[in-house]
This record gives sequence, structure tokens and C-alpha cells, in this order.
Amino acid sequence: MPSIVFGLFGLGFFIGFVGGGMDALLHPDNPKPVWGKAALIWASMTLAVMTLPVVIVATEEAMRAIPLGLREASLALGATKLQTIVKIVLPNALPGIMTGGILAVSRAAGEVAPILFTGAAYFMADLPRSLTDQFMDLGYHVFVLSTQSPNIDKTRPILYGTVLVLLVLTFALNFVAILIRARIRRHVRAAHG
Amino acid sequence: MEHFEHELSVLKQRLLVMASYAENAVNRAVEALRNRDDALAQKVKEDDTVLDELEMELDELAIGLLAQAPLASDLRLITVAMKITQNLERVGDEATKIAKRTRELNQEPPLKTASAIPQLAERAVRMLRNALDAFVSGNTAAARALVAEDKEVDALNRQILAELEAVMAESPQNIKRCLNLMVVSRSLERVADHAKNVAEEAVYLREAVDIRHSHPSTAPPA
Amino acid sequence: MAEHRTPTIRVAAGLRQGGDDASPAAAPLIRIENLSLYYGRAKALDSITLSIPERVVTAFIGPSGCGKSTLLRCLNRMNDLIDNVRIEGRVAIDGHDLYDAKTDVIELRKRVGMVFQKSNPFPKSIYENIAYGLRLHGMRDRRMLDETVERSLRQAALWDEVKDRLHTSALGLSGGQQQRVCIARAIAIQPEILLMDEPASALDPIATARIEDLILDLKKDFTIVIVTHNMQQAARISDHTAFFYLGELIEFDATRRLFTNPAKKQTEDYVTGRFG
Repeated sequence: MPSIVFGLFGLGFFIGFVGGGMDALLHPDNPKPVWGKAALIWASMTLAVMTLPVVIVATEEAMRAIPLGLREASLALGATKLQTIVKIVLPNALPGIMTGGILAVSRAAGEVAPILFTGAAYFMADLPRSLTDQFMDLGYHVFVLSTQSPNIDKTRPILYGTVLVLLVLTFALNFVAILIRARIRRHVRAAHG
Repeated sequence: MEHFEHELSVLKQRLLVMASYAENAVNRAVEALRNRDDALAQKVKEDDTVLDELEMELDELAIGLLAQAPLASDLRLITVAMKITQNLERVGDEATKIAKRTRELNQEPPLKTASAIPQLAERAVRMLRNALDAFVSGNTAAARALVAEDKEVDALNRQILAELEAVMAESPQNIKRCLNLMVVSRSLERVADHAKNVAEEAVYLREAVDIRHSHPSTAPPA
Repeated sequence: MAEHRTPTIRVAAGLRQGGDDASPAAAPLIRIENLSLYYGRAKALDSITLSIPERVVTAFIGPSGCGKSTLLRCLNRMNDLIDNVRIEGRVAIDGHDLYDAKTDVIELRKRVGMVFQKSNPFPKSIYENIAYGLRLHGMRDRRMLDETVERSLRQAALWDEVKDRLHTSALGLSGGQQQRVCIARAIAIQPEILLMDEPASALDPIATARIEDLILDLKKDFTIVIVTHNMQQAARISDHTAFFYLGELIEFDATRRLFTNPAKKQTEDYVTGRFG
């Protein structure tokens, strides 16, 4: 599904329906929308919805990869299905689940379209301070600087700087996530002996 | 499975070969005795080595089969075959004894007694043949009958021994011949014993019932 | 926890199916009556009627696909895990129908333990493997856990080999040792009945021999039902043997009798390896 569709979905559902509803409930007298506008929280949730399939698939795969024998052994000892999942399946599926998480984060980090309507701002003087604030996005900013700059020579260095930061951050993010997964994997493998 | 089945049938074949040699040995020993035939007696003695070799061959075949952990009727057949082999080898030994004594008896004129040795000989020979037939055919009724008959043969042997004892007491010049005849009688009685053993094994093979050391009229299980 | 029953005095007896035994047989603990099992339309077990006696080893033998494992798994309702399974008939342990709606499956599996063909220790330490079942059923006290883990490992003839590395991974052990961990794990919660589905088939002859010795030891305390495709194994360690073919029970008798003089020709053919 094209990610712009998620953006529109985010706009309509999160901002319009949920946000509007919350405003009606919590701030009925406030003329300016508090929740029912582009905000950090709605952008995050839109990205989450977009990357949900990846997480679900990875989690399912990881859990399915746990051999039937282990599950049968647990059940044969008198565990319920739930106990088996919590004590045996999930702990051993953790590396795989984390992989899903990493993939999701990577995918989301590069996306601009979903956050276009749901939270990213053209320009903000300050950093966002609460969940209801808007924010600036590096990717979007690159676009803005490349196409909407009034003085291309002055803004080119900012553009390059932004791209560099974007790349470094993405790389670092992935790297840290992989490190965490490796540590968990080592943990599980130690138990595997 | 084929290989095992083939080995099993080789075992059966060789056993039947040994059986015929053993029967032959007894028949010829008895004939040598009856006809005072030294040459035949000598032949019986010499041919006993064949039976010894067959015993070893059959034991080896059986062990090889047992190592394959057979069960049920296969297992019974192999253990029965080993026992019959042993009995046949001993039958051969008894035939040899009879042959040796025959040669000794032939050095003197025949003793005139009314001993029942010819009768005993005929029965022993017949019992051996019937036992081996029962083994092959699985006729357990006939086999059981042999167990009963062996008791009669035992009685006959005792009668012969008693008679010969009396003759010895009466006429000391006949002692040597009487003693030889006593040995012959005992050997024939033992041949009948071995025939009885073969019959018991034949019943075990067919019915998985052990009728040894029990009353001769043991009936088959319900 | 299930308490140990005091051993009853048993007279070794033949148990021909049909009940014409003259001598008193061991009290049957498990009664299977007209049990049929269907996978969808396909009938996997056909009207099985069988009584499994207490504190002896009963072996299930038969060619692949004859239903012996399926029947075994009925005894602790592991077949519940498969979709589309339908049961007819009755399986009773001590008189209680396993498939009655009121039966607590968790409680059942405490009383009826299982060891699988391919050993499946958890990817945890040896200690934790055995403590898993204990904790599941409420044991918390550390000292009790320690004692019970030791007792189970001793019963499984494994204590001396692993007592110095209880907290290392169970997966670092050899195949035969792993299987004994699984046995220790199963007996730790003191079931009355131990089901073993070809427990030694993946092991080398020496490891197999040790498992067989262990089973002969265990039968003083547990009723054991073992599925095996190895007839000589059944002849070595079982007291009674049931022969299955195509989902039917063909013959059930004292092991010695079944393997030296089976009553049915089908049994004779299977046991001597002359099956079609």
C-alpha cells in the first residue's frame, strides 16, 4: 500500500476522528484544536500502523520457528497454552521479534509521506515540547531545502548538513538495534549451550 | 528377510542330512551286529566323524541365526534344531559303540541266548525314524506316542540285562560275550532315549509346549 | 503433587485379551473401551479395547501407521492439540473417563507424563528443565526444588554425570543424556503413569541400553507404556505387549508368550519380520 495512503488515513482517522473526539471530550470550550490537529503522537501512530505488518510477520515467524517438540514438552508437563507461550515460546522468539522491530524502525525512519499530513511541519522555531506539538522531520526538511529555498547558495550547506545527519542517525539507529538483538541472541544461545 | 530365510532353510536341510546319516549309522550297526559283519562295523566307526563335523557345522549355523535375534517360530526352530543336533551326534556315538562291541563279539562264536536284543534293536531303529518323521511332518500325536514307547524300551532293556546277568552267573566262560551284549543293549536303549528327546522337541516346535520330564500321556493344551 | 502409592503385590500373570486368565492379574490401571479415533473422515483407531496393568511395562508394537503412537497420545489427551480429531469410546484411568467434559486436562497431564521420540529439553539449564514442571504446579521453596531436582536426576540415573553442572545448558549434553533429562523432567512431578513414545529410537546402542535399564528400574514406581518399533526391545523390557495393525488391536498378551508363540498368524508374521 502506498505510504501516502497511510498519511491520509492518519489524517482522517487519528486527527479527525480520534483527535476531534478527544477535543470534544476534554477541551469542549477551546476554539483551537489541541488533539485534533497534526501532532507528534498522530504521526507516530500513523507510522506504527504502517509498519505493523512487518512486525506481525516477523513475530509470527519467530514464534512459529520454535520447534513443536518444545511446546509439546511443556504441554505434556501440564502447562496451559498460555503458560507455554509466555514461558517457552516468547523468550526464545525474542531475537526474531526484535528483528521485526528493527525492520519496522528502519522502514519508518525513511518515510515522509505518512507524516506529511499528520505531524511534520514546514518550519518550527523550537523543538516539540509535548505530544500535541508538531515537529520537523529531517527527510521532509531535505525536500523543503532542495525545492523551496529562496537562496540556494545560502541553504546548500544546511541541506548537506541535514542529509549527513539523516544518514548518520539512520545508521546509528540500525546499529544500536542490531547490537541489542545480538546481545539477546547471545543470551538465548547461551541457554542453548 | 530373504537372507535370513535362506539361512534358515539351509539349517533345516543340513539337519535332515545329519538325521539321515544318524539313522544310517544305527541301521548299519544293527545289521553288522546281526550279520556278524566286521567290515560293516568298521565302516560305521569310521563314518562317525561325519556326524561330529555336521554337529559343529549345524551349531555354527544356529548361532549365526540366533545372533539375528529371531522370535516366535523361528526362535523355536533354531533352538530345537540345536537340541536335535546334539541328540543325533550322540546317536552316532551309540552306533559306534555297538559297532565296536560287534567286532569284539565276532572274535568268539555267537552266544546262544534267547535275548531280546534283535527286538530291542528293531524298536530303537523304528523309534528314531518315527521321531525324525514327526519332526518333519509336525505330527505331534505320533511324537507323544514315542514318549510312552520309550518307557517300554527301558523295561525291555532291563529285562535283557537281567537275563544276561543270569547267564553270566551260570556260565562264567560266557562273561566276555555277555558283557559286550549288555553294552549293546544299553546303547540301543540310549538310541531310543534320544529318539524320545527328538520327539519332545518336535512337539515343542509345533505347539510351544514343553513335554519333557512329564507324564508320558501329557495331552495337548485346550 | 500425586503421592506415591504403596506397592501392591502382583502375581506375574499372562493377560490374554478376552479375559480367560486363571491366575490373578495385576490390577488394571488404564481401561480403554471401544476407543475409536478419527482424523476428519479417516479412522485411525478402530474400537480398541485394552486394559493396561499397573506398575508393569506394557509395549505397543506394530508397523508404521498402525496407530500405536496415536493411542498412546490418547492417554494424556495430547491428541487434543490436533485439529479435526474426534474420539468415540472411553478411556478411563482409575475409573475416571479422560474424555469426560469435567476432566481437568492439566491435572491429567500431571498424573500421566510423557517422553518423546526426539528428546526435547528446553533451551535452559539442566536444573531449570526439571524445575519447570515443579514450578508450574506450585513448588516455590528453593530447598524443596533442589531436593526434588536431585531426586529426579538420581531416579533417571543421571545425577552423578551432571551434578557438577546443573546450571549449564541441557543442550550441551549428549543425545542419551538429554533424553534422560527429559525423563527426569517428566518424573519430577511424580506422575503415576509414564508414556514413552519410542524413547530410544534416536540413540546409539549403548545409550539405548542405558535407557532400557532405566525403564526396568522405573517400573517399580511407575506404570509405563512404551511405543517401540524394535521388537527385541519390547521382548527385553516389557511385561505385556500389544500388537496393532491398521488401527486395530490384533493381540495383547504376556510378552514372553507373544514373542515365543503368538496366537494370531498376523502377529507371528510381524514378529518374525515376514510382513508383506
